[in-house]
Amino acid sequence: MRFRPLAILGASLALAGVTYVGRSGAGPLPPLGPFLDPVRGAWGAVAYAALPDSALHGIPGLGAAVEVRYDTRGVPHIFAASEEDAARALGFVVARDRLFQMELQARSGAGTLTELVGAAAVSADSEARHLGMPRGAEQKLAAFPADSRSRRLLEAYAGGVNAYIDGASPAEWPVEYKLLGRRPARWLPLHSLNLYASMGATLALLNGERDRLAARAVVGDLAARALFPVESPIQEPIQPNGSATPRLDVLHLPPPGAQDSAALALLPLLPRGAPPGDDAEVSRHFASNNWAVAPARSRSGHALLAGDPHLSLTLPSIWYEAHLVVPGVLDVYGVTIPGSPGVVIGFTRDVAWSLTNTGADVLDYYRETVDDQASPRRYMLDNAWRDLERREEVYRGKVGQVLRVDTVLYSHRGPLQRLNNEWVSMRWTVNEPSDLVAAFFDAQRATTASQFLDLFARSYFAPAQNVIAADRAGNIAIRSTGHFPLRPEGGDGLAIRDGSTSASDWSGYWPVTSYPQSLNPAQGFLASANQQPIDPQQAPAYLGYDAAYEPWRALQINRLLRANGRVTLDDMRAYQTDPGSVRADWFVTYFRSAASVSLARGNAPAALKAADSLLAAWDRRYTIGNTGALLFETALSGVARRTWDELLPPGDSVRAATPSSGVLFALMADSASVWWDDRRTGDVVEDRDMILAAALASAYETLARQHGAPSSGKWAWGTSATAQVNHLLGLAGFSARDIPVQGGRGTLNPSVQNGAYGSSWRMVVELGPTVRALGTYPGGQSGNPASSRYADRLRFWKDGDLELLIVPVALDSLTPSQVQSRLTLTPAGR
Amino acid sequence: MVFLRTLMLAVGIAIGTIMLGWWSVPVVALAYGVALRRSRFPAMTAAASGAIAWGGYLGLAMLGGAPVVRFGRELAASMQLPGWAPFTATLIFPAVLAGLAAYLGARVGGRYLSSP
Repeated sequence: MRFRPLAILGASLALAGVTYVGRSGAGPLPPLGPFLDPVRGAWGAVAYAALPDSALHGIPGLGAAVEVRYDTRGVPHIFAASEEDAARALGFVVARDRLFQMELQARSGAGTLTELVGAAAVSADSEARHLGMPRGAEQKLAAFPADSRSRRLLEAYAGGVNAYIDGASPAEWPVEYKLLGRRPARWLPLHSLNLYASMGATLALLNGERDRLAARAVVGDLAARALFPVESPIQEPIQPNGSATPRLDVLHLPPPGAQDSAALALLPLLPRGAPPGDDAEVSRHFASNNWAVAPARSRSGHALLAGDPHLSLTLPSIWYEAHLVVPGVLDVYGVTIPGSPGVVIGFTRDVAWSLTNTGADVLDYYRETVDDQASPRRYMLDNAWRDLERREEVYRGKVGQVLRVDTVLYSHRGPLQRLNNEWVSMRWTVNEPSDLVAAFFDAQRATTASQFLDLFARSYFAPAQNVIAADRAGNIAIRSTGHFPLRPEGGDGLAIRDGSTSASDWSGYWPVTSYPQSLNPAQGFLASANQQPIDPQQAPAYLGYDAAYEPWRALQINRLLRANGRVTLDDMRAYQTDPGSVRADWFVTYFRSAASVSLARGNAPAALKAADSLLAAWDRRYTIGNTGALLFETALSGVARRTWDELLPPGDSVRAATPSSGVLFALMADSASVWWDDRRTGDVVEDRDMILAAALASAYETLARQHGAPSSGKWAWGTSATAQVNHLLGLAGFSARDIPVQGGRGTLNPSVQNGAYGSSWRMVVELGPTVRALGTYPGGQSGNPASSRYADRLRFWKDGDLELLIVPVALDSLTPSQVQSRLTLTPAGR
Repeated sequence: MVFLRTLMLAVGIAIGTIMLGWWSVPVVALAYGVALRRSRFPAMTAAASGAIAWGGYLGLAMLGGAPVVRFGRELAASMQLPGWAPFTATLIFPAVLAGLAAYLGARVGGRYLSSP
């Protein structure tokens, strides 16, 4: 071959370039070498898509061998000799299926997402750190005695996760790591607590103070208090109040007052949440249902329990199904959150339980007096200066580079934030020392429903949950469980308190005996769906406020359960996706009445008549092919827009805050309230019927313009209310989008936030001599998108079907046809 | 003969990838270029071998029931690329690496190792 220097130089440069891109990536491209490598790269996902028929792994720290059998649904049944071994094995099997998700979610709570995904996550990390979440988790861990069972369980779980990481080849690493050019980080016990903090932020970071203050700034204090009341105007509480029907409390709405400049000045002291949308009601990011039926009202004569927590719909799902058996100690089946060493919702042979969010107000703000506004070192408390704790927060990028450094200050209450030259601290139960691990592991040893609630309440702290339980003896029970602050002078949590005095501090927590609760009520059933837990006429103290509750789903559950004296397990299943809506029933009555008044006046637009006809024909159900639901929802949004125009700050097009739909409904009783007047129509003073009729006609015209005539099929509810089950990183190819589902606002299967939130796990249990349970969730056991177990349950979930759960009593009680894969974990030396 | 050489080199690259990783592609191809510097089209042979090695690995996985095609499309969609992009890239990347390395090996080897 001839020697050609220029060609060689060119080839050398080209090879260097390709090798560089192969090793380091370029722009948005990941390092192409490790990424495209068919053995260890992204394609590795296909080689590990299926579970092997059998596998053997050594795990350091294991006390005895653990046998794991994956059933045909991919659920691991873990048979261990001790709780610690079970936790270690659980860590291993969850990491095997969900390693990336575990790390991502824990980092979300730790404020270290940037180390995994890069600088794009700085603001999310900053929020977590400024809420004090990483510090809170560290303090919780430090508070565990070294030999405590919870610490040992956390360490065992971490050991299982790390044993998997150590034994996995790069080919087995989840594909997301390869897309991000990262490798799995080791799991620490702290990470499980970071995960709990993240869940706490999802469920208990409520900001009612801001809503009321924002309203006060625009319409004055009196009106703001009425628009954002403490008590829900619609009462059918979790703790039955003895009434067989919901109670509507009269809501007196004073006319809008003058703007409140003091509130306007205070407003910047509170962190700004997401801007309120144009919806008819505050958009809830989460919701949940649970209910239980006593034997007297079940066809089988056994207690029944249903639970479906509503959370962000993601792939992989937030839940992972598992069964843990430690003979004589533990036999629990249910769902765990990847990263959490135990079952969160599930059942044993004796007791089943589920959770809904209480919505309690467990966060308060304090205006602090500091020694130096620009760079405070001390804060005033009871006329004496106290040192502020300073915590330096370093945000690192994917390769360890420092992206940002800031300092978070802490008073004895919690983290401080500087807002408009003022310093505000917050106290939040999510950051208080607590032991969630003990709460779940203790409760799972209970043999009765009430024992379960007692054991759970002993250690559980936050986020407050409505815990429902049923047992094999036929008892049903519910208790809103968490730590509820006792505020000075019995005050509520909707004001910014003076931080300069310890008299503003919480004086303790409610005693468990005061928690909203019920055991075997005369009505024969119990239900919670984020409604106000206790009737204000029976409440011992302030627990929360109306905007954090939602009455409608509870009304629907109670209606269904009252109407059925012989409930079956299949009825329970069907109720979870029941398309009926009390909310629609109640509001439509007013819409139709308003339409008939306007039509009688003779000057109504043609669209009103057509809309009224459509509403008249609507069965008020949110089924996929239904055409009435879209009209109703659009019209109700229009009503909110026209009614709450007083809450538009001058010169602004976005409402300061939106009252709850319960308040809107309560306003219906006062047809001539000044709130009905749309001030933007200066020459007309509207009443209720005018607003409702105009909103209905306008909704019809809008939809006709967008979709054509109702008969076109494009008004079908299923075309607009679709579920969006997004991959955790939002990757389109690994997401399942635009899934038509039955249900809407106020139904038991709510479809909100553009479909990205919904029922994340559905379970129904019959507690007979042999426990019988059905369940599913929108996803699959595997976090590997190449696996057939990645999203295999979506088909059941979207249709409201449930799968029979296999619950073997012993290792040998699983038939060969029920076993998909075997895994043996053996003790290994370090 | 060229076909056999291509196939054997592909096997070599595949084994190198399985045992050592992606960077074995240019190393094996460079060695091939040096060793067979007098052969015809060493760069093209190596490029074809690189593509065959990685493509063949995926093909065998597919024959074994692995969901290569579905996953490739989903991966492409996740990266906002057309469905064929991951497959094409998986063929082109080792081909370019191997071709360039073999070319360099043959040229440099020819300059310093060939007898006058």
